Amino acid sequence: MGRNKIIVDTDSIVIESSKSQRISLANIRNGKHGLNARRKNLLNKVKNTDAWESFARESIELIDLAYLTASTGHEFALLRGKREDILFHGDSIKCEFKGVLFQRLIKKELSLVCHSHAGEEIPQASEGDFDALRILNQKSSMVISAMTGMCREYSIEDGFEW
Amino acid sequence: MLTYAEAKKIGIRACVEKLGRKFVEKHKGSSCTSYGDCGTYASCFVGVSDRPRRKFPAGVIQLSSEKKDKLPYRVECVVNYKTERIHFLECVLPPADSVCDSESLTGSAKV
Repeated sequence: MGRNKIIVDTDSIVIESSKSQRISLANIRNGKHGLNARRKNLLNKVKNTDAWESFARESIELIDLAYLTASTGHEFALLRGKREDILFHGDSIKCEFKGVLFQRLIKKELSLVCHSHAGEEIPQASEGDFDALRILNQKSSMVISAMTGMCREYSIEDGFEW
Repeated sequence: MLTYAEAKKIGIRACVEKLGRKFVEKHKGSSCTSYGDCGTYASCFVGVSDRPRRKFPAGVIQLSSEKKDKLPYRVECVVNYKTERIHFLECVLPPADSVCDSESLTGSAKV
């Protein structure tokens, strides 16, 4: 039995994220503009894939992830502990937490606040993104688009309101 | 005029109904939602998997945006706060014998 697959054109819907933000992200992506000094500094601390760095708690904004992704084409993730934010540099299709970060996430010393997607105007969490929440026993997290800056919460559903 | 909370509820329900309530209920343990406030509308998403739960390599948690990692059955819609209309953006539905739903791709929140 085949699946029914219907895709309505998204062009008929105006994705109404902030226009200035869309333009700003596009300018970063196409190299017309560079990151501001603050975001350059963030990126310098996590230059390579799988690099991560600790910062003051709540010093990293979700939109920072979008700009870093627009600049590099790589996914970034924000983890948060009691006293710190951790910025993680992934690759073009994933963020992979291993070693110390894995242990701290499992022990719930860190929570997964947000991660970025490079190529989606409306960010859509993947099956793996949801499975990660289950493994972490975390109800929800956020995903942000590096194209539009649109941010969405995604959640393991434990019951729909019928 | 809908609030974000009202529109989100309407949109999620519309997505569930598009997928089929029985199908979503059958796979309750692997049903997932996503939603956001987009200023003039709420974006809503419900996804369901009937695949065996993937296993990450030991000691690894992975977040992936690869197309192959998208939920196999999913519905994405937006609900306009002012008009209360629902517009479906993506519907990847389970086989016909798993669900019975309407074929309409647009609708009113009041239906």
